[in-house]
Amino acid sequence: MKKLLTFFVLYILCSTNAFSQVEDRFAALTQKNVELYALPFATAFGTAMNSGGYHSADIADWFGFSISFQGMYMLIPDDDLTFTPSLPDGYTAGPTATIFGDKGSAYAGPAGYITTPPGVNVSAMPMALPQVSLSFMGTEVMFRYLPEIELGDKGEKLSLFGIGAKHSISRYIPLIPIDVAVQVLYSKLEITNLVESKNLAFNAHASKTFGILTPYFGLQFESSSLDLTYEINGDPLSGDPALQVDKKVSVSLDGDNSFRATLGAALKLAIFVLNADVNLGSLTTFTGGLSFEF
Amino acid sequence: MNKIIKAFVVVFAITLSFVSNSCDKFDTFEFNVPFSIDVTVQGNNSSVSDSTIYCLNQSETYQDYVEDMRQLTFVEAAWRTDAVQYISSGDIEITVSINGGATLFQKTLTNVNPSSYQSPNGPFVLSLTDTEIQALNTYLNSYLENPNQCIKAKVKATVKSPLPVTQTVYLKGIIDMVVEAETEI
Repeated sequence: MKKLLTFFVLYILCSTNAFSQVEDRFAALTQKNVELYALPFATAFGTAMNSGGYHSADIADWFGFSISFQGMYMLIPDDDLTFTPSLPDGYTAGPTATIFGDKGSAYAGPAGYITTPPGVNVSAMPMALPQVSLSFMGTEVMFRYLPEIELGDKGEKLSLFGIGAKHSISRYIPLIPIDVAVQVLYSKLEITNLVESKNLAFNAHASKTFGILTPYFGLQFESSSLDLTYEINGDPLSGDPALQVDKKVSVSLDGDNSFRATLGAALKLAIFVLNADVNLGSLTTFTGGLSFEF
Repeated sequence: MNKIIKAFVVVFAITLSFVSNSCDKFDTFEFNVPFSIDVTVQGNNSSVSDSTIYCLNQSETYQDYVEDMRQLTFVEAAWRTDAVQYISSGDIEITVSINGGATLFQKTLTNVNPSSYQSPNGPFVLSLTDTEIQALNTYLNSYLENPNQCIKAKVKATVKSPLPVTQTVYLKGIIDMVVEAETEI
């Protein structure tokens, strides 16, 4: 189990390596263009953080415990790979890469070239999160937590905290053939002085157990915000006056994720549960989880 | 039971590894480095020329990342006019070469009014051949190894109007270039 935990911590660090490069990428973008460049990431990251909250609507009547690792895989649509930057008068803007796109661009104009950074050239974004749940009398509380982890040599620290509460509705409805529950999730991921992501989700979900197999379905409303702080690395020769001097910039983005439908199934073998689901919303997301629960 | 646990862990880890893009995506960072070379020509003849020596390490962006750069690739080049006097029509010949060495590219803007490429107008984008691009790329990557070998940008302006030349003709132009730097982070 210790090795598995190590694997997941390493995996999360790997997934968040993108963060350690954002300053370099953002440093060449104006505030307006950073908003366009990073918006797909706000959506994908928010979608990930709001995923994997459940794999059954059945909640223990007395006491239950679960520790699980959830992996998410968000497909990035083609529209989210490019954006058209806002440029000064005299420049003709064409498409360039978002943070998920490929090559950056160079725009010739009356004050010299304006360049935009490349993306990381991916068509999907994976993530993994550990979580622990405790349930009692039809109510479940879930925690997602990572202790502070130092990233790179600039002193940034990654921290993650999430909490969720879930309550069984079906326990109040006699003879109902399926389990139904509602859940609220909140999570916050922060890299000091660089990124803060806050995510909120509310869902209703249902499941039905057939032996070791539990299909489940859910509908979820959600929101995500991503606050970025970065410093423009001013270049006096830049064609864009907004990029000619050093400047600290703060940007707040709201992800496009607002609603999703989830369909999946869980396989329970003694105290181990393996689950997988597909989420259809602003992004198509696949979630897989391995849980140890009783 | 231990076998089941191990099987789950292996399946889950393999699945995640499969869908993961791995850390490799973030090991390198390819970004565009713009730089500009100013060249001023002036004189009382119908044909005037001058040149400027430029070293890439004069670029602040280049300096910021040079320690981690692995490769440089030419992206685009353009000519723009910063100031012009007494040339309403003429040829502008731009030659970029290794200082004391081979020519990397040469382009001529024929029968142009230099002010057509002066702000607020856009620049003239120089269209390089594959051979010229290859020569530039070879030079750029040799520069990473030998930063003392700078480039020389020469501009020759041939006045076609107004003639005869009775005033000191003056042309200050800028050769803008962009190279893509592959950098290890």
